[in-house]
Amino acid sequence: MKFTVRVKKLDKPELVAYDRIFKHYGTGCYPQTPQEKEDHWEVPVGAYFQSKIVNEKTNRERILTFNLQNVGEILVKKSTMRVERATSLRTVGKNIFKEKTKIRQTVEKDLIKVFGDPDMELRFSELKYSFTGLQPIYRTLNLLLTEHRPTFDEVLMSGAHYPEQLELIIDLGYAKYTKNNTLEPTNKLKDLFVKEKGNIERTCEIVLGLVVSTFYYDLRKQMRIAQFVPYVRASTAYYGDAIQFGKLISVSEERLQINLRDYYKRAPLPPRVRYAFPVVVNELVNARILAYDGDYITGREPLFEKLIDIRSELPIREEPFGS
Amino acid sequence: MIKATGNECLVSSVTMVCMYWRKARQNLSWNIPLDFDHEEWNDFYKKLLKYVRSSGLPHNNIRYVLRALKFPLTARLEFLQDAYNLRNLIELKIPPIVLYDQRWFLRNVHGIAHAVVLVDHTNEMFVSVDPSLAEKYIYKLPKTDFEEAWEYKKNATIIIYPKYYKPTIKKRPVRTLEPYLKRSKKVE
Repeated sequence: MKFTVRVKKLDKPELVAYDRIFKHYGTGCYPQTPQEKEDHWEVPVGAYFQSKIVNEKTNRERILTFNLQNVGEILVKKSTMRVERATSLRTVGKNIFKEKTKIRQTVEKDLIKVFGDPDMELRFSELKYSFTGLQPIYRTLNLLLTEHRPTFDEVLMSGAHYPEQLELIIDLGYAKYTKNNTLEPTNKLKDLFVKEKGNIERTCEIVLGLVVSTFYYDLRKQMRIAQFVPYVRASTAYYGDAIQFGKLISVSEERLQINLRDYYKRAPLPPRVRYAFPVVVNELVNARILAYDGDYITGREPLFEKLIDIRSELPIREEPFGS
Repeated sequence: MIKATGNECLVSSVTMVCMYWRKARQNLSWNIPLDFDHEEWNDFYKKLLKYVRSSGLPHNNIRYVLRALKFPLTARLEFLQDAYNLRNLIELKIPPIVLYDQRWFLRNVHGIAHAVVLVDHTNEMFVSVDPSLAEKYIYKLPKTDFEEAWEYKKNATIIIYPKYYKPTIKKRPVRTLEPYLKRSKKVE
């Protein structure tokens, strides 16, 4: 059987780019405004990336579209109106992934900032595994608040990594070395202790929160203390989705684990910090970062309120149809 | 009919068109059963889904899957000249998969290319099978609004047809008269 189709001749750079995009990249991409160069057209490629967020308790689903710019480039030769050079599909995929990583980092950075807010009343001591990495800070704070004044030599004898970690609370202004090399609390720590009505546990938790909040990336990359990374990642996976959804959602533990894998794809953890996921979730709930909603996991309103402003910064739009 | 959310609309549309041809051209050498609930159709759908990347489903992969599974069908991506060609395809009983800017159609803001199968038309409407509207599926697209949204994706259409069909592709320039008028003025 014969049939005739009348089609457009590929005589415009945008059309040539569309042809390349739909055939090689996919329907999620689009050409941005072509730029005229000497003997060719340069067409940057943008991509719409879709993200599906599910509130499992209410069974509501939202499909959001991220509009990512400059994920690839197509060069169209003027004389032949053919593609001279184009970004490979693999690179386009990588660039989309990079853009996604930037979005995830925005949520992660803001979440870490919120960890340092004493008004959130987070209980970092409940993050047991996370705590093991920051023991030097916790133990020294305890000593200082119970009127002990360790000397630098005593600190060094406790462990080679002690002085390095204590530098962090010194930088934050909660402790200082005297002239005879004794570590003592500053007025800032004393004031905090009084404000917390002499509660050592709570004072330590606030300082630990500030340490994690201020030095998270230094602790991980330079000091190689990664014990709390799984907790931050699990929290980011939850709040990242909740921010996109626009309100707190309730998800199962399995779903949260899938989100976590998706959020941190190609970002491996050292083997020594691969904890059992239910333990991490349970401790995050005890630390008041997440909460249980029956069989589901949800977030905490005060934390979410601090984070929701990020939504306006994300390049997202809601799809007209979500089932 | 196959439900789809997100990037799956093109996969669902391609599967539905393949199902249509399976039923309409039973005498072709098919290696997949006519029973659409059969596991093999599900496998076909899943195989196509594997090729959905973060950038969407590239058209070349549709051709590749059809060839790899030895379906007696082939696919083409064309930028049709106008909606008359869509009408012609529908009348020839070749259901075209159109890629149009659904967000522009609904809200006048640009967005991702959405794939639907056109199955019929009236004077004012195109009747589409939209996999994202699961349970309902059938959706009537007013021609004028649809053409505008379709034009934003350069009238992109995927035509799936049996291999023995012989299409004649006639290319027409898109350029407006402006450059020719300018040229003629210079000559004068």
